[in-house]
Amino acid sequence: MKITFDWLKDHLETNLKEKNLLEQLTNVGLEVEGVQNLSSDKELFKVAKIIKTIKHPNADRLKVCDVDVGEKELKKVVCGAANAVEGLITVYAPPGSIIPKTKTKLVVAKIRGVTSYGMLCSEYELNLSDESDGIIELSSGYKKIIGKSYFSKSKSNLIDLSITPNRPDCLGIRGIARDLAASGFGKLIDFKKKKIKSNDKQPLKVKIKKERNQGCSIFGSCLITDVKNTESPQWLKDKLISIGQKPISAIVDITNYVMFDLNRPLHAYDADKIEKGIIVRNSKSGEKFTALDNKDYKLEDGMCVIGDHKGVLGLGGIIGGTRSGTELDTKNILLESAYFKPGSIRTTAKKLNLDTDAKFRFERGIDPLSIEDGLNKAAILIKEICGGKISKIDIQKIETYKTKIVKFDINLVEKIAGFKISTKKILKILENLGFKFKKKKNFFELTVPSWRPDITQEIDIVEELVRISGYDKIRIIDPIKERKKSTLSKSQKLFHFLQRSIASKGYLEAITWSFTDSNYNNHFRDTKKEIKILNPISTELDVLRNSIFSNLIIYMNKNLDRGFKDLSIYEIGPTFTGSKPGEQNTVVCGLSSGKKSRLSWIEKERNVDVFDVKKRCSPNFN
Amino acid sequence: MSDLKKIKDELLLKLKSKLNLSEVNQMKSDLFGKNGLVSSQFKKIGTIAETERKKFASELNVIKDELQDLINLKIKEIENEEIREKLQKEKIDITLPERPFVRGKIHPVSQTIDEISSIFSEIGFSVEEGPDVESEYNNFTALNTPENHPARDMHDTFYLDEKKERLLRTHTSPVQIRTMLKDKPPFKIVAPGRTYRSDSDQTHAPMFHQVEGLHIDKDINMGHLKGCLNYFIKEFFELDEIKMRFRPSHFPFTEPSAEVDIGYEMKDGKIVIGEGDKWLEILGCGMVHPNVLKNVKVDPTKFQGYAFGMGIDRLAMLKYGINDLRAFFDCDYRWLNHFGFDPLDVPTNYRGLSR
Repeated sequence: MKITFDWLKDHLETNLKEKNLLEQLTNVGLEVEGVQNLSSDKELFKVAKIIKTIKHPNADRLKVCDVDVGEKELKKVVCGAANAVEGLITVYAPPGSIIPKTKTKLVVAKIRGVTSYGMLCSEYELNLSDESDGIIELSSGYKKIIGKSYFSKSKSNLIDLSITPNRPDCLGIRGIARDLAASGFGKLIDFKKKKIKSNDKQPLKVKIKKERNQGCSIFGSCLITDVKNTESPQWLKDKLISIGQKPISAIVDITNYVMFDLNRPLHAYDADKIEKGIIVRNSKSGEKFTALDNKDYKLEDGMCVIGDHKGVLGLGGIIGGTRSGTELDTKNILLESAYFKPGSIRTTAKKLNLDTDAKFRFERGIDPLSIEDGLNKAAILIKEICGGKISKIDIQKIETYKTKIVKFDINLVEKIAGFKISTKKILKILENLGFKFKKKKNFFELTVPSWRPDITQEIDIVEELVRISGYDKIRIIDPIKERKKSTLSKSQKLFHFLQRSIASKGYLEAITWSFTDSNYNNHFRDTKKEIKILNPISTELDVLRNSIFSNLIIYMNKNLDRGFKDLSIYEIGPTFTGSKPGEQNTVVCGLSSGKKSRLSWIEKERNVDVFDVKKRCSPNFN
Repeated sequence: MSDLKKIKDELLLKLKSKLNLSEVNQMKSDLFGKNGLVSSQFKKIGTIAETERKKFASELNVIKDELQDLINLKIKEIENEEIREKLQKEKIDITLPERPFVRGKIHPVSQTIDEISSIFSEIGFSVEEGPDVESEYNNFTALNTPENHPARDMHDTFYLDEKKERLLRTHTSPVQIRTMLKDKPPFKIVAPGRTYRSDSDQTHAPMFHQVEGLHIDKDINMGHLKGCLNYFIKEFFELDEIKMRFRPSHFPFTEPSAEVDIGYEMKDGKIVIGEGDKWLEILGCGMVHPNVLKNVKVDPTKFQGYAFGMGIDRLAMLKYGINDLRAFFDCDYRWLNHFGFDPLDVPTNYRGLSR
């Protein structure tokens, strides 16, 4: 999850510095994985226009471009992209700037004899997407800001957070702000929620089929008619760019903005392309559709699809389809805000090997009560930016959300954490996290906020309290040096003895994989069963080893190839007799190669022979 | 009497020349042998007149002793000379190369496991083990990680059957389940062993080593957990003080969960553990989740405690300055010989861990 301090401040009132923020994020369990400086060097990347291109005199594929970068003189830039044509508005990186992807610093350089002052960038090079085919093509709207920085002037760094899978609420900026506020880092800003004012019913019929394992339980929607999809205004583009997203069009940008802001995924359909109405149903084996990633997917039975009377429109909560996608000329939009069940999303996405921002969120659990908030926020923004008329919200559901109640005994905090938090503080933290509470005789009855699917029992409440209070409050209790049981069992002692005994006789201890190459393994398998790995890492490691010999021989051979001659190696570890737990033995296996001694002033030459081995094998082992 | 005198003079004369041991022995038997010169004088005693006899006999005895002493002295002298000569002759050149001697080595992972066991032994943990092949139930379900839980994504699992019921354990945590099912609380164990994930790159190997810790009793809280790990880390890195921080995290089988970082700094391109303002994540831990305790029939209202898991290979890398994880399992002779340990260098509590 990528955030900026500036965006956080939309939800959080604070005077604290970014340095404190980074510490506090980690302290409450939202681990900071990395911080990218966007402000200083990224301001160097300018919106620019190619005025003229000529073929490079010494290279067929290169062009020499005259580029307008908002300065008096045009810059000469050598570029290899096929789409570098006259009139294109793109992003220019001057000498001295550092390319985000490659971290290389640009210098004025001669490319096949022509001096190039800087570079025209692809989305890939700027870390905006994986698109490395050609340079960025900006829309004509950017004409007005040629010479200005492409990236927003925000002084805020890009902060990359690693959000654990139990915290879907923190996949939105507001959730992160809430956690921070609860921990005392500023105050969560309370918005007056704007609501759609409309008298028109949403005219498209939506039906959730009551089927077994129906993956969708609530489907909210509203229709926005007569919109003019355009480019997003600068503030919105800046917001998305600031967290590494690429602006596309106002409608798409707004749905993305609401997703990152409130953790509420939405989907916009071109309403004119929906045949009669929406049907949410299980897919039938063999159904096909083309998704927005331009790939064709063949569906299996029981995947949750959003369809119409003609067929599949999209995979609910995962990805939309091209047939009903919004374009710049889209006039009427159906905005979807639904609840999809995590298990259903996960199974479908895994089968189709699909990963999207929406899927990532739905499989972790989206707030089922955020459906209307999301529609309100997005629809009003669309109206502001693209105009049009909004219908009333239509909500179809086959299940109702039940609020979760957890009984909580305050004493459990000290029992688990080893330190006390005052009742007053406990209630304050819980309130800030969105819990409601009722005092009962010996406990509190807590109502869990709808955005916290991870909280189901008392221990979850303890974790919240300890986490928000800070793990630094846990005091160290030194361990007592007392041993009531022996450390090693008899067989462990034998293992330990054998391991060191063999090494003391000149063998190097090796540790090799517990799996091996079936071709080698077959030589040592005897009558033992071959144990295949279903998904081996490579075909050379496709079975569990029945003997250690195969691996030792493979590695002995590698050492001989490296030019080492007289070598003894051994391994002590598991060999397998079957694929049930426990069908394994601990075995010691040694291998000697080459000469026992080489001719020298003091010794005669002698090969390793069977009597060296006999010595190692003798029952008293000495 | 003049005969005796003559014998003595002759002997003295002979002894002056350079003799070897057999020559002296020959002289000895010439004098004292059965028909030797001295022996034959004794035979004369009977023929001598009674008046002279006593005097003759006593003089003869004196001479005999005298001669014997002379010869013995000479023998001693020759022997000493021989030893001296031998010492002189047999001087050796110790600058010649030594006789080749091959000592084997213990793999750094094995050494690290012994170090870890030794540290935990001192504070009352015993060592447990579990099989490498596990059931899906022990590896995930019993550990509060149901099917379709996104946490399963973090584990790229090797499976052995189509139904995905048998697998190579992805962590040592199933040993917690086995231990608790087998016995009654309290439990205080560490479980080192091989673990497997279908992952292979610069920092991941498809097989690696973990050590699991579990301490369950009536009143074990997070303070004990912090104390135990603080003790372990100090002992393992053999430092008096260490910067350590607990940071909230998430594992399905513990709650609350924490990741533990230790402070470090870079000096001359090398990691120095203990001080500094950078943090290095070294392990995950937490209070055993009540659902896990219920799964193994331990009453979570009566018993509670902590569990932790850490990567042994990584600990070895940090302690012994090894950079590449993959080299651990590559069996390169040079690597094994360089990073391996003398088998007699056994880590113990009383001697200390490393040399």
